[in-house]
Amino acid sequence: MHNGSKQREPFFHIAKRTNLQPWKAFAIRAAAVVAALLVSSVVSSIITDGEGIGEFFANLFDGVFGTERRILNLFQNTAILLCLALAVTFAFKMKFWNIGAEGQTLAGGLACVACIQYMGGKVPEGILILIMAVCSVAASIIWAVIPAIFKAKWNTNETLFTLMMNYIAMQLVACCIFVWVPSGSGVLGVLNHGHFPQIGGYNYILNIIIVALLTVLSYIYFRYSKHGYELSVVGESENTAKYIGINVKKVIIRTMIISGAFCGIAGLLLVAGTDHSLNTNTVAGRGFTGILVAWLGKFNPFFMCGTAMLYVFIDQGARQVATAFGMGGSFSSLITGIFFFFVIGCEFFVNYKVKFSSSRKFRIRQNGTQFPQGGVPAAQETESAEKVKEVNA
Amino acid sequence: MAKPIAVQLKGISKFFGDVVANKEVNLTVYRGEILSVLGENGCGKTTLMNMLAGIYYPDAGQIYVDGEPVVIRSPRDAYKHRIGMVHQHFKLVDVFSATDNIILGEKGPEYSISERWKEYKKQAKRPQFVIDAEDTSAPVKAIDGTSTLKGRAKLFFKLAGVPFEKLKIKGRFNWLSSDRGAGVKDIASRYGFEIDLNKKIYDMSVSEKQTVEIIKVLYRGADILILDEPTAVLTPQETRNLFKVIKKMRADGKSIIIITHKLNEVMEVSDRVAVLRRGEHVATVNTAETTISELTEMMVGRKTDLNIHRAVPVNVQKRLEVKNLSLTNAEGVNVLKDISFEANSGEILGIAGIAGSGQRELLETIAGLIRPDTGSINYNNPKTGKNENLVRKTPSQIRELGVRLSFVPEDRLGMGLVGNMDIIDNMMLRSYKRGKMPFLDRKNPKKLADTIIHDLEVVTPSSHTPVRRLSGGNIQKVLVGREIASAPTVLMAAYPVRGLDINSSYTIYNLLNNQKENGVAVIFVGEDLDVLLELCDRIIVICAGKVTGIVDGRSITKEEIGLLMTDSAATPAGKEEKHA
Repeated sequence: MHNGSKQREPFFHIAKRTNLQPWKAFAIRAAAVVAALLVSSVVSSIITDGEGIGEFFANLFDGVFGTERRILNLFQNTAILLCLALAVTFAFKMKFWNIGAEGQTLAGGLACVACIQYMGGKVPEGILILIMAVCSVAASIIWAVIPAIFKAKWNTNETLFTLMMNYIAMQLVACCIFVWVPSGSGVLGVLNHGHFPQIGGYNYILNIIIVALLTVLSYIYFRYSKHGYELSVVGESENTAKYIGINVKKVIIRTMIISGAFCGIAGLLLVAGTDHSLNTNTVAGRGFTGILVAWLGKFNPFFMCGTAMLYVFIDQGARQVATAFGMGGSFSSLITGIFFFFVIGCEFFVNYKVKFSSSRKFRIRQNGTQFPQGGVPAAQETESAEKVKEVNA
Repeated sequence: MAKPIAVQLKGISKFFGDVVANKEVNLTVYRGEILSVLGENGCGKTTLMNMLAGIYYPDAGQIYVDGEPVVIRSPRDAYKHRIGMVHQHFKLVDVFSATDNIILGEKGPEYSISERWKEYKKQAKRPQFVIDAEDTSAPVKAIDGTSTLKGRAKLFFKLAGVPFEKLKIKGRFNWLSSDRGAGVKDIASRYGFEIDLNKKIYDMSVSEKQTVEIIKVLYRGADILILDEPTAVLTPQETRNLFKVIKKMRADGKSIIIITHKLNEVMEVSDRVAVLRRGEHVATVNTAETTISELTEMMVGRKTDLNIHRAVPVNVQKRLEVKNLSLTNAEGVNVLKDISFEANSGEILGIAGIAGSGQRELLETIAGLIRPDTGSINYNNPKTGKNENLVRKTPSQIRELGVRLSFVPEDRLGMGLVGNMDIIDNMMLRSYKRGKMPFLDRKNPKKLADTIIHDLEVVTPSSHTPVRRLSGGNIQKVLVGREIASAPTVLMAAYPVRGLDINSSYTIYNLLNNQKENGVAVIFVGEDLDVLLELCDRIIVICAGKVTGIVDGRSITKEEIGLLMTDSAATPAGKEEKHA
């Protein structure tokens, strides 16, 4: 009945890692980034028919650090992305899956543009920017808090709700632009009012300062404030929160107000700080990329600085490579895709280790005493011995 | 022993990361015997058996079935070698009947045209009753269905349709013969299982579900049965029935392996006992040649005193009075029905009952987590002497009233503690709101954490370790320690020793006893009746949300409680007696 030679042991199995030292985890992630870059360079050299790997790296770094403006762009894009990542972190730490940062930011941006449209030139610039800030934050909070109220009161699914709110915001923007642009071109030109002041002769510096400030503030909020503690308890276990008497509904709504406010600030930065205009694609998917950045940064605001910058670096560099090699826009998506594949995939190796048939090795080292009665056919034994050699080699 | 060997484990090891679950375990099971695998929680009993049942794959070592080395990679492989396991958590389809659950996954018989023809012919021949108005003496007549032209035509079309029906079934794969499950009935009657096989699973009690699982394993042809903590969910009476069945199976030549940590059951039912300690096999002994204290020593590794010191309650005052409490849950089920009792200071009040009889809901209602439909919960404040009604108040409102109510919930990591937070942050759960500053104070919780780690001998690398990394016993010490630290006047504990090893269990019992001596009203929900009888001053027995008796812990017997748990002895007269 039992045919020994037909039964084969699994070639490898997967075991969970515990207590991986932080530096080792960091090394695995760094190796993943390096591997991602190497694979991208090889892929790019294949699809461009022999552009050198060196070319690839030269263009990649040139795209990010080539000129002063590019360096500034790196920081500015990082700032916006980080701001959105911080916004979703509030919600995600509470296990409120807010995938509507895109729409919340658009709502804020729309409020800014509305302020400029109706008050631009009528009030001093400084006051206009303050009014814009208030309106933007208010609009985003409204956009964020509607799903939160529904979740708290009727336990609706926040994922779908926030996603749908994105599309409403987009349509609203399209509609407003249609109203505001009499020519019917559907493109809102550069607005003349409500620009952030330059600092030290550079644009974007104010953006970067604001986001740096928000990063520190949110770190303090998460780590040291009672509110931050409550929100992580709610996120970890709603039952525990109820058990110690936290008002879960209140925490959900309060946290989403903060999350919305951060999105509002991002909207303000986009309109007043960088684009000075608005279209349905102003946020450019960064509401979703922010989720990835937050998750890869383990929801720690300071780690998130690193992941946000890494993402912007790859994205910006890949665009330059695409331009230099004469490839289309999808080339940069390809490179970022490869990058994410490695960076996310390496988390598997951080959490698990793959063991190759250690049981065979173990048993053969026990020099056969484990097999009394000659139970194992000779063929199988030699086969496993070969396998062991392969593994050792 | 002259019996043939059924299964042999040699040098089996299993590691989970750095944790050694099993280390070079050798174990032999003979045909026709009952072997108990005994050990404290977390000693690797279940892991070892899971490797035999194909759930896990051993990291090292070899399994032999009937003397031949085998590789068991999946439960299907295990069944091929006639090994079957009944898990602690049943895996049944709720909306299926017992029979369907048992034959689930089995390939049904081929759809045979000739047999189907035979069946239709038999059906058609059945006598039919017609009313003949002309014949006044016997207006109702029985005739053969095929005797009329209409009947014959009907039969003809039915028979002609059978081949097409077969085609349809081949396309749909879901034909079930109406007389399926004959083999299941055979097995049930052979071993004397008392069960209605047509009952749906959702209508069944826990013990019935367990029976279905056991029949399922037998039906699949298992000769080696592994039962994982089979008695944990049963009343004493049901346990006895189970043991009867197990003994019948043994007489039939089956080998039964019972995983357990209950010593008296080991002594009662098994032929031999294998003791595991920290993943290692300590010894296998014949039950007849050993004693409970010897087994405990092997299990724990040193001599332990298994007596609980029960002091006579002093200074008894009414502390908590529950009156006519009723509760309907979200599904519309009456989980608590008109419950009334009192909890007194300086006394341990036990709550006994089959798991899921409403114990959890009762405690959560008192703690303010659930709002009851009707009833009152009156708290007698010892400081002010005031009476406070706790019904319809949230936990924070209850605390603001100055009611010092501590609650050790059943679900430690899901409710009492936050697994991903460290010990300090978990200490803060109760105290973080103190002070007007918007920022947290981590200094005092740190002190508290260190005190608890020191006083209760919590084994942990530091107070910054996430709680989920600790072992079950240490997690519970952290939780109970925190609840006691707030100097409660009422302490409620739901299954505080579930999953704990003997030493940790006795630490918890001692803590509860200390609280009692300090004048705290302790409410203890337990599952081990032996412990309830040793620890509690009074015991409330509940069955399906109703109080079936409030009895004196010193004079009642286990059997009497068992009867009350299933509500079979709750005659009004009996209740009156026990009240006194």
